[in-house]
Amino acid sequence: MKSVSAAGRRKAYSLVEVLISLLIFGAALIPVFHLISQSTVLTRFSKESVIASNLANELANQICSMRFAEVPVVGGVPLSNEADNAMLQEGKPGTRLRLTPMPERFIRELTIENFSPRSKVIKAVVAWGNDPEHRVTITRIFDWAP
Amino acid sequence: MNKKAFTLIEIAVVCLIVSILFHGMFKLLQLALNRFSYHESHISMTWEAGRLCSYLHQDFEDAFIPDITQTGLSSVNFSEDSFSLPHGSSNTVYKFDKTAGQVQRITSEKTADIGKGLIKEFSAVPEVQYSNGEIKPFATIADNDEPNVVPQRIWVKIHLLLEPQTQKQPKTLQEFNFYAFPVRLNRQLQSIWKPE
Repeated sequence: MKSVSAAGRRKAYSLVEVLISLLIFGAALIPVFHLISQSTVLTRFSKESVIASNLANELANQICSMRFAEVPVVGGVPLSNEADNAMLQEGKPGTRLRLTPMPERFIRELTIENFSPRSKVIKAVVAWGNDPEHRVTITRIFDWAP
Repeated sequence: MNKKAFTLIEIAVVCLIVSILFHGMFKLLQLALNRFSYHESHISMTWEAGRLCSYLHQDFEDAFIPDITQTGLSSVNFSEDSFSLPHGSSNTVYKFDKTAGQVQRITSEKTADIGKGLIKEFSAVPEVQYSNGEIKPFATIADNDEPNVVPQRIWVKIHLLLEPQTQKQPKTLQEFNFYAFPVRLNRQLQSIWKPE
């Protein structure tokens, strides 16, 4: 049998070497992909924040636009898109709600508590995402006015 | 001496592999850069939308008419591309300039251009709820001659559509809709008329 001498042996990369180099190359690309995915998340989050802030302001300000005596005390009432045009207090058309439809994965909640005999605390919460992971809360003191 | 060297075929193969790798890397970085500038333009657009919404919420919340019993709602005006909100002795005017793609907020002190080149549509549709519970367009106030039926609550449906300033496709339009309630003004209206 003919043996191959060291000088005659042809140098080449082994499979392990090639795999390691590919791994290093792939690892170097991870931050690039991460940057792309992060900017997508950030863009979506900034848009959803503006929507949530609008929805929460809309809810809190419309409660403050109602007659003080007609506004009932409620605890964490979820207000879906179907609650648009519903009355907060039965038989009181002045408490009719005007609600902008929420996108998917959004929830809206209203809490009204007595703060003093002549003031109430309005808390409008809009949350979104899984769990949900983000929320905007608008709190207003609603005073009785003559 | 037998000198070792690369053959032409080897060099050609290596060049091919290297050029494929470089092409892939270049494409990837180009994609990253495109996506980044796409998101950057969308974020700056959302920022402008948020700025406008914030101004609107605040101006609606603070709107009031000092002598409402004398003048009524005559200082509240809505037209197709502008509206004015009373803030005591002065008014805050919002004007939509479709050609420049922006909304101007004009107060007695300064004029602010919002969303320059980004705003495609902007509208404010006011509605009024009367003391009998009926909801009608704001324009009906002037014609309302029913006895004991007076405006009790007004609100405005805001619609905002923005388009990013980028040549890159796809362009994702952003739409914002919400109701704005002039809290102080509504309370003024309610103080004039009280239910029995």
